Parts: sequence; C-alpha cells; structure tokens
Amino acid sequence: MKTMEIVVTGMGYSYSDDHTIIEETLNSIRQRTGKTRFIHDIEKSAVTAVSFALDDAGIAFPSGRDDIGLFMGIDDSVEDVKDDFFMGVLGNGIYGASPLMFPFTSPNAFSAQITIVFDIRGECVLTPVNYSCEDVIEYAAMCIRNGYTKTAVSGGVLSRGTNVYEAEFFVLEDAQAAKDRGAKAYCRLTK
Amino acid sequence: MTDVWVTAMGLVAPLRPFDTIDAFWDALTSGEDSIKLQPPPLLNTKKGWLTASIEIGNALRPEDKFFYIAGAALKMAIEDSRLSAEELQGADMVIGSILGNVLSRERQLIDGNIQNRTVEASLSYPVRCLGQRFAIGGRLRAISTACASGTDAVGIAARTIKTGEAEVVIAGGVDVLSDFALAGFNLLQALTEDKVRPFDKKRSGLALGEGAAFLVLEAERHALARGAKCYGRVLGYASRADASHLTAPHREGRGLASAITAALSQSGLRQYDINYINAHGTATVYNDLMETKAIKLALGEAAYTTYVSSTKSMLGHAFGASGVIESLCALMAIKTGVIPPTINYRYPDPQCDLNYVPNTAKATPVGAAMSLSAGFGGQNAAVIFGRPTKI
Repeated sequence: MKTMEIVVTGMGYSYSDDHTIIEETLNSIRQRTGKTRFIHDIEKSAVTAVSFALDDAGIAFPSGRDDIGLFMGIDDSVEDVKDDFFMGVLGNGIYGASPLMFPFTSPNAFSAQITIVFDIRGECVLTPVNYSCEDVIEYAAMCIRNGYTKTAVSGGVLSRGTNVYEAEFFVLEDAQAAKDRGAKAYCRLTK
Repeated sequence: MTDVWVTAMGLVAPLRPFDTIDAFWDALTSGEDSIKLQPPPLLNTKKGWLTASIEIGNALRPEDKFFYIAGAALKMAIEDSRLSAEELQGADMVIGSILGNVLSRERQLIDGNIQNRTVEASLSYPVRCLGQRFAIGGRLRAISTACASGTDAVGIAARTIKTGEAEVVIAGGVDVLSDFALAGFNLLQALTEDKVRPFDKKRSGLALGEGAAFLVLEAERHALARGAKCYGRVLGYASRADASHLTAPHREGRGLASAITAALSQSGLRQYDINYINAHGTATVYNDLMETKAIKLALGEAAYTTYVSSTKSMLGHAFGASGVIESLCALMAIKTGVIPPTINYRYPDPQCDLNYVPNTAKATPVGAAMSLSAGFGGQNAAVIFGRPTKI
C-alpha cells in the first residue's frame, strides 16, 4: 500500500492582545459569513487564526463540506471561564448564573464556534492538552492518512498569562490532493 | 486494517449497587429507575433536583467522587481484561469528560480560594493521574467534545488500533454531578420536573446523572494470542459537526445523520443490518425529534424496523461518561440478546415514530448495535459494534 504523504498548506496565528488585527479580521469574517457575535477572547483568537490558515491554504469559507475536519487542542484557558461562571452562581444564587457564559464552560464551545463560523461539517475533536497541541495534530494526520477526513484544520489555543491567549492553526491535507488543486506546501509531516 | 475487539468492561453507574456488569444489566433491563429528587452536591439550596446519583457513603468528600468512581470502574475493566502489568505498560488510554473533577474547583471557590487553582481541576489531569495510578504506560489522551466525549473516546481508541498505532487502548468516560452543571442546565430550562420520558409526546427535559465506564479495546491478533474473551467488535465510528448552533442541535439532524452514514460506510454493514440503536435520547423536545429525523435520514426505511431505546430514561444523563456507558449497553444487548427499554413512555409523539422499546425490555437477537451521542456545539458521534468473530 502506498503511504500517503501529509503536507501543511496553510498556517494561521493570532495573539489575543493584538486587538486591532483581531477586530479587523473579525469584521471581515462577519462580512463573508454573516456571523456577527464573538464573545470571548479565546473564541476571537481562535477564529482569527483559523481564518488566516484557511485563506493561506486557499480554502474558501463558509465551507459547507463534511470532508474538512477540525482537530483542536486547548489548555487550562477554559478554566478561567468556568471560574467566572461559578463565581456568578455563588454571588447571585443558582438562578443568577449567566446564560451567555454557560455554553463557553464546555471547552468544545470554542471548536464549535469555529465550525459554525466557517461551516466546517466534518470530524470535530477537542482535546484538553497540557502545554502542546502536537498530539492532536498527529491525530489529525492519522485521520487524513486513513481516509477519515480529506482535509484537517488542526492546532489550538494556549494560555500565555492571565486572560492572554495564543492561537495557532494549520491546514493539513494529502500532498497529491494539495498538488492537484494547485496549493503550495510549506512542509510535510514525517509522522 | 486489523479488527478491534472489546475484551473487557468496567462500570460504576447509578441503579442499585452492583459488583458485576451482569448485575447492572439485570437491573437495567428490568426497567429500574435511578432518578430521584436530591439536593445539589455542595451548595445549600431549598430546591431539590431530579438526578441520578451514585452513593459513595460518608467516608469520602463529594470532591473525591470523581477519582473514586473513575478508579473503581477502571479497576473493574483491568481485572476483567486480565492484561499483564507488561501489557498495561504498553497500552494507551483515552478518557472523555466534559467537566473533569469540577467539584474540587467548586469547593475551592466556595471556600474563597480563587487564585490557587489546583491541577486536579485541569481537564487533562484525570487521564494522566489514572494512567500513573494503574501503570498504563502508552499514550494518554483526553477528549472533551461535550456529551459526545465518551463515544469519541471509544471511536478514537478503536481507530488507534485499527490503523496499527497501538495494540491495546483503554477507552473511558467519567463525569460527576455538580452544582455547576445543575445551574447551567437549569438556565437552559433543559431539566425536567417530571419523569424522564424520551421520545414521549409529553417529554419535558432531562435529568442529570453521573458515572464512570471503561472498555478495553484490543487488536484481534493481540487478543487471540493471549486468549482474551470478546464482548464484541468495533465496526465503525464517525464524528461530525452540525456547524449550526452553540447549544441547540441542528433541527433536521444533519450532523448526526452524516455521522451515522459515515460510521455505517466504515463498518461495511447495510442499513438493515443494524438491529439496535442506543439513542442519545435525552428527553428534551428538540434532541429527541432531531435524533429521530437523523436516524430516518441515515437508515431510510430500515429505521422503522430497528429497535431504538434510551437508557437515559433510567440512568439520567452522565455527560461525558454517557457515551461509554451506552456503548457498554449496546455491547451487552449483542451479548445477551436483550434490548433495554425506554421507561416512562406513555404518549406516542406522531413526529417521533420509531420503535422505542417502550417500558419493557425486548428479547431478540442483536447482530449489530449502534450507540449515538450528540452534544453542545453541534457535536455528533456514532459508533457501531458487532458480534464477536467466530473463531
């Protein structure tokens, strides 16, 4: 059996303190997708980084495709949201909890927002990580190699201090498929 | 690609105390209801909630429950597997959980200890902690895909073996009842104050539950070489995103139908080959309607001859653990030829028109069974199990 070669065809990076870049990018995304509401800094950073990666790879969005999957890692950043929500419960009673914040206490809210904004309908996996998203990128590559997805958007969000987040995403695909659609390849994944 | 066998199971769940999976199964197939009115775990409130909880006695603090039930279920699975210490050292583990040990963090916040978050609250911690405790030396992976976490853990474990990356992978799901979740689901008006009545016309919401379940998955050749027993085989798995709404399912079941279709395609089975579906079946108005539509969309006419039941009517919704508990139920249906009922079912809903095995278990041969999960953020997952290979 011929071994499939996986290449990186798009890269995107975002830092939550780069407010101007993020707001400009989100405005552009609003115009392209009609999605208007972004609440949390983790979400804003992640959506911005994914839009850069997809644009870089030349993949149009909203996608509407179920052969593109999202494979995302997130560290304990999400615990900040959970703390805020529960402090609201303690302050205002069980009926005083914030309905806006509750959905974001589930870590996959951030991967979900990415799938919603870019209309990515394929595999969707969220992995809580310690300090690196390498493992989730390896899993994404394995899914391409074995035909579970054609293209993968993979990466994650890591905390870089109190309420400061760094998001980095890559577009992975089969080298031949990338070549056939005329996409550039930054590098190939050796494992 | 190698066949993937399920060679062991371990479980801690509501229902009367049980020592074996067979005892759990007897209680479940007799329609035992574990859901009752109870106070929240840590907060003092006048109001009680309908929940399905596990009794741990007074010797342990509520915040110890997560690792207590996780450890007990994993121990049961490891003992059932008869894997050697050397084999465990080479095994991988994948654990699905939505909130992790949330009660430990709740306790800290209640005590005013806001700044010093302990590592115990981290979602990546349980799999590392349990891996160390049971000397599981391979890759340790955490999954958090809302209520699909457990099913995704089983599916990812199966893929890891199927693609030759591991010989043995332990897949688990663990979550506990928390004040946190009660407050949140209350906000969403998703909690019932009546019985949990999946697919019933008068269904009014879910009851939260808790549990821990583990399956040992193994490459066929590895299992054969050591003479392991086989509960069933993992035939197919797929995950799909609705890409629709942060908390509500896609109304037509687009993502779940796509997951079922993809899992079926991998399994090599046809639509009529699926005899039983353990549904996500939360008893919320939208989930049950969406799920019915998804099953019909994916299975076509075969949907009407397939038994579909919701064990959440008896066990409540154990969050990230539910996918593994329900996978275990699908495997037990194959093993015993008994399909657990959907209890509290009284009034048929014209829009939910499949065979939901109302109130009484059904004895019938099950060659292939599917377990479905759907969760916040439009997460969907389907996993298909088949009978053990005839050797």
